[in-house]
Amino acid sequence: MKPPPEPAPLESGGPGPSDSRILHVDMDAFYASVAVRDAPELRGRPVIVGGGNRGVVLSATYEARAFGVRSAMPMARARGLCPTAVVVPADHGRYREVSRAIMDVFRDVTPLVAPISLDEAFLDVGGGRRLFGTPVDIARAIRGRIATEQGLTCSVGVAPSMFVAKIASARCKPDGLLVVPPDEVLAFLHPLPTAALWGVGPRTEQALTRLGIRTIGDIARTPADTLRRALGAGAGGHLHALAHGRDGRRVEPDGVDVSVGAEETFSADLADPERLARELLRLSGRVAARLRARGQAARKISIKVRHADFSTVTRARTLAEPTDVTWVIYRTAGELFDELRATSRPLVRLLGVRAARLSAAGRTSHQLAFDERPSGWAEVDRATDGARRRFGEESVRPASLLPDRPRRPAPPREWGPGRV
Amino acid sequence: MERDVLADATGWAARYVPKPTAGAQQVLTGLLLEATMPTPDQDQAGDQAQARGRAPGPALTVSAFDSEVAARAPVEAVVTEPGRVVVPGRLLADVVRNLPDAPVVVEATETRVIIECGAARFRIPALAVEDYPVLPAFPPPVGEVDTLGFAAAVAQVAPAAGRDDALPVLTAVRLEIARGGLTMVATDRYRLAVRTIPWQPTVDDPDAVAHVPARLLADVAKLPTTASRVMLGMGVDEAGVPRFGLSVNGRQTIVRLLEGSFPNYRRLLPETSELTVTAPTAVLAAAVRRVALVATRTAPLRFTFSAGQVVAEAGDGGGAQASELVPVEYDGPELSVLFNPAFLLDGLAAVEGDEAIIGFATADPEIASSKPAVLTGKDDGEDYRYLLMPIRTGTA
Repeated sequence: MKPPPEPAPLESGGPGPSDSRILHVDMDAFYASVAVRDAPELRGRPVIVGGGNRGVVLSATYEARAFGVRSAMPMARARGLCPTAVVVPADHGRYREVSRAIMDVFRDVTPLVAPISLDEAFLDVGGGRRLFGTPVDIARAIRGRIATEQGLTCSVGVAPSMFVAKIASARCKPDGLLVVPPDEVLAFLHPLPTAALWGVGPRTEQALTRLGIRTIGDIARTPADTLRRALGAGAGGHLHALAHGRDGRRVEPDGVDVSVGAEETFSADLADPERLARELLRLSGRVAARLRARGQAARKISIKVRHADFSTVTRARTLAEPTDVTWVIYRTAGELFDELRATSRPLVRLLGVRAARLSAAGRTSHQLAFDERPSGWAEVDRATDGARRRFGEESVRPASLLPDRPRRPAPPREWGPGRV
Repeated sequence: MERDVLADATGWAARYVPKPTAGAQQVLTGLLLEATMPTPDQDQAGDQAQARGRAPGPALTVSAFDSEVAARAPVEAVVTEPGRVVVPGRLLADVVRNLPDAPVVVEATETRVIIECGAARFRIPALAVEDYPVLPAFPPPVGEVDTLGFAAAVAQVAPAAGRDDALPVLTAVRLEIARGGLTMVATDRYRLAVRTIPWQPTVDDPDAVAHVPARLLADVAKLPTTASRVMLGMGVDEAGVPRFGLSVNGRQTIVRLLEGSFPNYRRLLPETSELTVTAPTAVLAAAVRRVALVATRTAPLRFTFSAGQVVAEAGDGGGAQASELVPVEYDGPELSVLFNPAFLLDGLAAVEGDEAIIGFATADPEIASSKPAVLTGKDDGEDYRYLLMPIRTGTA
């Protein structure tokens, strides 16, 4: 392994990194590192964790990466590139276990931990100065604890905002620490290629290259309107803000890419729209109840539909406000389902409803509309939860889910199909 | 023709040219130039002539069209031969804007256009004129309104319109014409703005409504013009499409109306307010903007009104917090209400005068925090109202 890059000097004058309070911690070659740690005889050898039905590389040690092996590459290709590699099957249970231990290390220094996946997370450590020292001190301490307690290395980016921290951790891999003080953000960003920005994939990169834009600095120098025209209003404005170092997002604990879902494979494939609607309502109710039990609310609702021929489609919609209400989740899932089946209605083998972009329900709020009564479905859910706790799961359910009541509930709206 | 006159007209019309997108008709990205020789008995451009205050000379018309809007601008020109040609719109506007200050000569065949001005000469391939759709005629005039008053009212109302296409009619400004006044309304279900302005009907019993796309109306209304009057037209065109027209200095903008039934907004307007707060508009707006800096995009601001003051607060336990006190005229019970800061700022920006009046329909603090608040400006009188629904904590 190459030596970790030197952290940016703290003595460099100016305000220092005191406002660089966001950490992005990214485990180095996580699955492969866990495999090597658990089988020390593999240390120093090229190791590939492969797996699943589709036979792709899930993770590879840096020794294997030296041969050109990359994540998501087909296994056959990886073996061709690196015939001496040891291939280890994935052990997801083990990764989850190690991930939990790592996240616990993070939570020891701040409650503001937003896991992105098993092996990376954002931390806001601005509140820990008195207890734990500066963000840089905290980053060093985290790297030390993970090394001694878990025998694993990670790379940490320290910056004033989430996306800069993420770029920083990627630039100091493996086993590195890179600090970007607020007054050096632009100098750090601008020489980088556009693809380093979160949200710039191959297609956006192509569109930017057509405009002669190759670096993040080029984006910053391009008028926002030009970017909006080329990339659309949302993406254009977003990239322009990022290129100027502006990122309004905050670290929301457990708020990123964690989801709650329920799905059901039917004993016989279904075609009847009323029956399907009822299944959606049942699944929505399960998802909503689980959200409420965790004290969380979701902003993104998605459905999954597998047809009789095993083709599978998913559709998702982001709500204006987080919800834990059965009715809202059902209505959104129903809209997605109806749009999906507007043109063709193959037999359905499996239905799934999933809620993502979770946040603490206690901190959400609801913009009232002119045409709604201020009490309603949320209260119905609370009452249902209470009755179920006392009388059991089957004690209360929507009338349309009672046996022999094939009716689809109608939306309680006066002004038409608005979205909450 | 004069360079400035032509540049003005092509620049104006080019803003209506649809952006070139895959699948769109290419010919629509062009501007249609129509040169006509006037005949004494053909009053084809009556109101143009009237607006210019002299007999129509041989004239050129510059037109743009997309599915939603048609635009037509007359240009003073000496026409030696009548004809029609479609020229790539943005290119034409760019070229004409950059011409030297000298008379412009345009000469066209079916396949290309030559533009000469001073020593400059441009040759631009033409688009297929036979593919260009027939532009809708200006709908029957219904009356006239003061340009500045109209623009100001549109600016007060349009921000409250919806942006979500799920309910298209809510993306409109509703125009209601009646003998007593011209009323504009917009709502996105969370706030509602309504303004009535005086106008001069030119029909006997004006009584009609039009749902005009709000963004378009706002864009048109704020265009600079030397004209003091706007002529309005409403009606159904030959194809049965309901349209609304604005004519300023002979320049016509003809808009396709949105369909759907607009909610019954009148019953939302409270007759009276039991509690009223009088606040310095600019001071309150500045405080809201400052405090909102720590709120996430959808997070509300809490406003606590008590005798002589309001405190705006944002933020929660874990993150940044902010609060600011603004002295106001208020002598009711303590009242705590949550608002979306962006919605409140829209309202504060729209009211007229140094002081904004915030009214609550009921004096019961519990009920007031879930009923619409009404904003007006001290100088608005009864003519303008901005209703704003509060935010409630918890989910729904």
